[in-house]
Amino acid sequence: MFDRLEPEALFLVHLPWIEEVAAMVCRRNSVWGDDADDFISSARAKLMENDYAVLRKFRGEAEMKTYLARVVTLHFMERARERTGRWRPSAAAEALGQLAKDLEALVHRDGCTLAEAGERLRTMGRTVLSNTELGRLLDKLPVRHPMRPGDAGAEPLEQLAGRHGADERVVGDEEERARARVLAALNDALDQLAPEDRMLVRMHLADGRTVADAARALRLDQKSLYRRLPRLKSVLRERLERAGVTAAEVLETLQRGSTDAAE
Amino acid sequence: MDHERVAALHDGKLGAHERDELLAAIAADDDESWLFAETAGVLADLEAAHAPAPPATFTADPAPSSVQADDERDESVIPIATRRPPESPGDAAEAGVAAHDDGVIPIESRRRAPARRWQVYGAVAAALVGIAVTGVLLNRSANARLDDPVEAVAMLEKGATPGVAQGWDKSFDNHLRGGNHSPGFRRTSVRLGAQLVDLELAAAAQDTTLRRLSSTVIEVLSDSSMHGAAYAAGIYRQVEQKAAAGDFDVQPLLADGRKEVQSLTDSDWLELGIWAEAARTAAARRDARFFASRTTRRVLDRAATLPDAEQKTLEALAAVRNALPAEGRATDWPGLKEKLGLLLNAAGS
Repeated sequence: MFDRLEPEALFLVHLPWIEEVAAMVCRRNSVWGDDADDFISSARAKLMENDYAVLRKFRGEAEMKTYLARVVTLHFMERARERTGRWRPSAAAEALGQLAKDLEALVHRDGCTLAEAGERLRTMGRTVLSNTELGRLLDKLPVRHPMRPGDAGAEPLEQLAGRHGADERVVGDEEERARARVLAALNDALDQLAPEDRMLVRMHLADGRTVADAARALRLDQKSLYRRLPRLKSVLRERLERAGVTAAEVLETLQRGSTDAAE
Repeated sequence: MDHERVAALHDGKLGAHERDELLAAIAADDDESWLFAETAGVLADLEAAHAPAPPATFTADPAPSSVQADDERDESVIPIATRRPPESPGDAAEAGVAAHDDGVIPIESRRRAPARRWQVYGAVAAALVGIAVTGVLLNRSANARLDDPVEAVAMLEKGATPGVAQGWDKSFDNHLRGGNHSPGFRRTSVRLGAQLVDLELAAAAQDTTLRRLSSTVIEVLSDSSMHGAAYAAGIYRQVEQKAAAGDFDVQPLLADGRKEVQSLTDSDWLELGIWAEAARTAAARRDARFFASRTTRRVLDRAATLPDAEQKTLEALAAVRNALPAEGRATDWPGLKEKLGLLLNAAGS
């Protein structure tokens, strides 16, 4: 049982780290200025909540700094979802680097024009690229719609006219069955992978994280991943084809899924 | 999810079975996957930010600027390249790197690189995270060369962070190409030196000109008659491909390319090209400390004594010396930048 004072002392000792983590999470996720300051304050408050409950739970099985980093990052994720919806950088932005993430956030999350985003990024010293060059970068990113919780209105749902006619609903059902088949095949193929391979596929192929990021996160040798990842892709492709699904179908299904979700 | 268990996973403290169980659970959940990857990224970026600067075994320069990590993508794990050509173009293209011998190199052993390797790679790490190391020099003798473009970039205030003068790549083009592709060994060495600096700056700034710069280097290497240039060109071809795909994760390739170019070229003239291009960037940034460094004085002194330097090169050197920042007078920064461009033109064409 912790001495009542110990968690507070732990908090104070690690406060600089907590603030550094909070600031870094903000930078990585294109949160700046007052919003970043707000989050850092919020992170401090979170860790003080309920008499330093988070610190009291710590058992000493991991490094305290790592534990705190996870807790602060989790807090960022939850808070960001409440404020801006379920926004995440796209895989394309993730793969293109921080500038692409920042640009995507400003334009597609915050609603800035390209010119406004360019001005802001240059003023913050995050780029020297011109608007034309930033435009070329933006073209590589998918068009996004923020998934923000909104007010659906008071009108009862049953009084709202359906969006689709009967024929469209039949086609829609068939498409839905095809989509379910493809996703089931994809899930089966992924489930057959070893957990570490599944995470690699998730991080690099699905989420666009760099090979270096994946290697660091999973504590693997980076160079060996350059051979391992192409092999994983081949294995997945073969398994999908055995299930009667082509890679193109998977891609189309996933792309359609992201479009539907945005409507 | 048990946060402390996941933290232990990050720390490498779980046994294989427990690790697999946890990874399976994380991979199955969108939020957990993001949280895991993001936490790892935050930890890596903070580790890089706290990475020590190279030891300052001698200093003669003004106090170093404050060290502040940029938010550039960092490669705090520095791969150790070995020399082996790609197994096949397809392999290399897929891998995005030359297919080197991939004997298992534990990450921990790389992070605890011996001191002499740290001396070589310290400037690499510093440049990659945009740490200013002006005034914090590696342990070098009076005869040591500035033959590493990464060191030159690290001499710049704020290192390789964005801030290069607008149009720096176009100026380079005008000065060093101008239709003249003479393979003269000395001229090629100067050009390649300058281009290596541009590549480092472009890669670190994730500048889209990286692709065109790579193409230029390939062309210079291909036009030259240097033995081994084809292999070096192959490395830059991979950089070009990655840049075309918007992938700026090219530091290992650039490191390989640097080594190859250094082995192919005349070290005196390569050094001049490296210094002059970094100096042009410094002039654009009005970075007086770059020009006050011993390294700058050493390079200029050595260049002036080169036996095969043409008169136009010596005159351009003298003009640069006269334009350097000096106490008691205002510096004409645009003029200095222009004179450095003329020096590159004189020595590289």
